[in-house]
Amino acid sequence: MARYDPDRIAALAAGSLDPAEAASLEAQLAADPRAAAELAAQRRALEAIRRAPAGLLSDAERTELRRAVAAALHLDAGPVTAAAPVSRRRVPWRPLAVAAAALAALVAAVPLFGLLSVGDDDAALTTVALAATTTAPADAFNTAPAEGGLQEFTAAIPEGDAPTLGGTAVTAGSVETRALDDAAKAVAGLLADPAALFLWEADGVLPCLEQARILLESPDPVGARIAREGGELVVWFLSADGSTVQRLVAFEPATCDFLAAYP
Amino acid sequence: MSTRADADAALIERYLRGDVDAFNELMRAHEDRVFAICLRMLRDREAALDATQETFITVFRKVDRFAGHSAFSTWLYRVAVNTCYDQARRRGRQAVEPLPEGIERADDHALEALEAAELRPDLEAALARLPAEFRSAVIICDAEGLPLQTAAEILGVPVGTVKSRVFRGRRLLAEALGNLRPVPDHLSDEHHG
Repeated sequence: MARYDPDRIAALAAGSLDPAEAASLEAQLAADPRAAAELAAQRRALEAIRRAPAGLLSDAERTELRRAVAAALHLDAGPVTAAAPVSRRRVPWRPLAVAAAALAALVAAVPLFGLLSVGDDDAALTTVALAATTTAPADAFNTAPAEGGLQEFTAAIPEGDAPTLGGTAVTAGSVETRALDDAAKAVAGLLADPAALFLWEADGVLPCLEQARILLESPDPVGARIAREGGELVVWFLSADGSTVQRLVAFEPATCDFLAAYP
Repeated sequence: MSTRADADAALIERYLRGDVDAFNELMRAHEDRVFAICLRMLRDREAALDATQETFITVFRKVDRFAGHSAFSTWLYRVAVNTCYDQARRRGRQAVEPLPEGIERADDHALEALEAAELRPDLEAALARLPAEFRSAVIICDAEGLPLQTAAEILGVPVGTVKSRVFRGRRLLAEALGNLRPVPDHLSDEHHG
């Protein structure tokens, strides 16, 4: 292992060597199990980092950031020189940060409830997201309102019940309600017997990963495609022990509409 | 310099002449990346927003002293990284730790259990376990995809040191993710000088 230059291994992993040099080095490393393991580790780490979603500012955060910086530089009072005195007022970011997370969850759930008609600005959507509650049958998976906003989007909505969202009654259409009901039944079945989740073998790229990462607050959930009445659904989940499900979200595969969540 | 760097230089000139639109354009061009770096460094959205705000205030306050020897973005990211170090230090986070002298071999049984686990630990948690110097190098080079030379300017260390930190940072990350049995590291962090 000591024969190999770590810089070249790192460059090979990053794909920054020219093809001939890369092929030659790869062949050399392949003959040395320890060096090959090092190269594999470098590649896996790099791939994990590159696959992780970058943090994005919400519109509200972006607006407040610019406003706060401009205020500290006195730009809100008109053009000034850079030598002007600077005072920094600490912005209470927490409400915006929480709202951004809730908004992300709402964006994933919006197609389900047709909420876009509630309003176009982020503030309205955020208010709705933070106030959202759903009504669920007692025998469904946990639907108790949870702290943090994300778990509030549990979706076991019985036919005829309308979720109350920020004081605005929203009635899901019968087709959507049936889809929710089917999904809820499928997910309840999976939770009772999760073997199918863990035994599922990937047959291609599974959709809705980005939405799942947001809702599960994890960059690396496990996915599966599961049959349900009248079609399929895509589920993404977290598990610590490889046999039980800690958290799960389910989507319509074609549209990535959010269908159900556990807990 | 690149088109972006040229555009930034022109915007800074306009800003220094009192053009508020130039301020908005500079913010628009860089705020997402600064925030992304801060979020990965600090792993806390509120703290990252605070660090992003502080970074831009610092940079705009001192922009008349920006000599233009490097790209504006390089200077901006350097301020961002240092702001994150400062903030983590102020908050007493684990983020700022001394560089390890070496990598100790972990318990073999624990390693086997880790290797047998079907699911890997959360990447962000694994990143958080890296010493701050390694994490910043990995974030700048691998997550943000900036060139080694730029990373060296941002971090204020030689290119060789950046390479070494990226290499070791990836290795530690792979270990944390359960992909590699820890091995004694014969490389020193500063082996490149």
